[in-house]
Amino acid sequence: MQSNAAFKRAASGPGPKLTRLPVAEPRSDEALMAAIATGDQVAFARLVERHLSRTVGLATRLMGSRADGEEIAQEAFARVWSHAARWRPLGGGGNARFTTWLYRIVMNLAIDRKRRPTHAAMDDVDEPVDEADDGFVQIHRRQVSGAVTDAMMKLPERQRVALALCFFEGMSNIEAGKIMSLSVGAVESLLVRARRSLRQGLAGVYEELSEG
Amino acid sequence: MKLSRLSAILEAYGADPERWPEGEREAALALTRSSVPAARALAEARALDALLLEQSFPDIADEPERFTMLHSAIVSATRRHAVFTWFGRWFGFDLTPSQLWPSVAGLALASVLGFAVGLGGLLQQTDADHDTDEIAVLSPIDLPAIGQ
Repeated sequence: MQSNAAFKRAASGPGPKLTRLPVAEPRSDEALMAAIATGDQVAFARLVERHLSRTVGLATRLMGSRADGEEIAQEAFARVWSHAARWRPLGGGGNARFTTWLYRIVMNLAIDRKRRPTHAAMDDVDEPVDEADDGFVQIHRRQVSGAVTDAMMKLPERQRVALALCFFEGMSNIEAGKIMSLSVGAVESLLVRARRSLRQGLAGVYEELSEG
Repeated sequence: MKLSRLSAILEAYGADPERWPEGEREAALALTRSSVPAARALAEARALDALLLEQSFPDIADEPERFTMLHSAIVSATRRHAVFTWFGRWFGFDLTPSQLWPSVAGLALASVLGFAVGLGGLLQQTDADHDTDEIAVLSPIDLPAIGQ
């Protein structure tokens, strides 16, 4: 499991040590949420550990910046904690899996944040590239990555969300539709428009790559 | 499957058949094998996929220190939230910090106003007592005594 691997790396790494929580049988997200609703912080720590990486990843794609993505992830988990008592599992009166709910929170926070005026954070500033070895390759990849990020950020919000969920996060159109409260056909339509816009927006990069 | 439908699938989901709608996957793959325009459309979609995948953000799972710091920050924030909520419930509220702040601010403002009003009243009371003392000194009841 990805989160377990992350934990092992964190525990053995040089930084602050992560204390392993008491080992128990893996609990489902729904069981953890039920515990969190009663104020169980250990259950909350486990849930965060399990979903942090993917949540930051999605938020980063939506915001175009890792620093903003981390902030969104923090805020999203704070909402999970404070609204846990109100959440109902699929089949238990609710209509969504935990991850659907979590990603919907992330999506809404990202859209809200994007509408607010912002200032460039220090974390967003590119670090100097090591010119040694494959420096030119690194620079080129950064430029292409930056061009794709810029083109993504120019997409309308819902197109960007649909593309992030389906293409980058590998979710099905059904799951993306549930997160976005849209039909499968509507998600497909957003994806078509998003990819067309990106193809046009990245035409220059295409030419550059084909010449290179 | 018609070429137009395959184009729509490629436009929406890209070149990886794993991402295509399951019910149409086989027919779409068959068309890409049998039709030159379909194969060309697939190649174009693959080129766009490759370009999009150049957008790389480091995975926080590969950065143990950052992962641990963020995890700790999130979990410790809930501890503060839990303490706040406990106080809120103790005072009879069942509110989150953001909901509780206006009440706390209102309570604090009311306390300050109450203190100010009370202090003002006390000062007025002191002045009034002082005036009463002066009037009592010049009371006409005492005048005959002064005249004697």
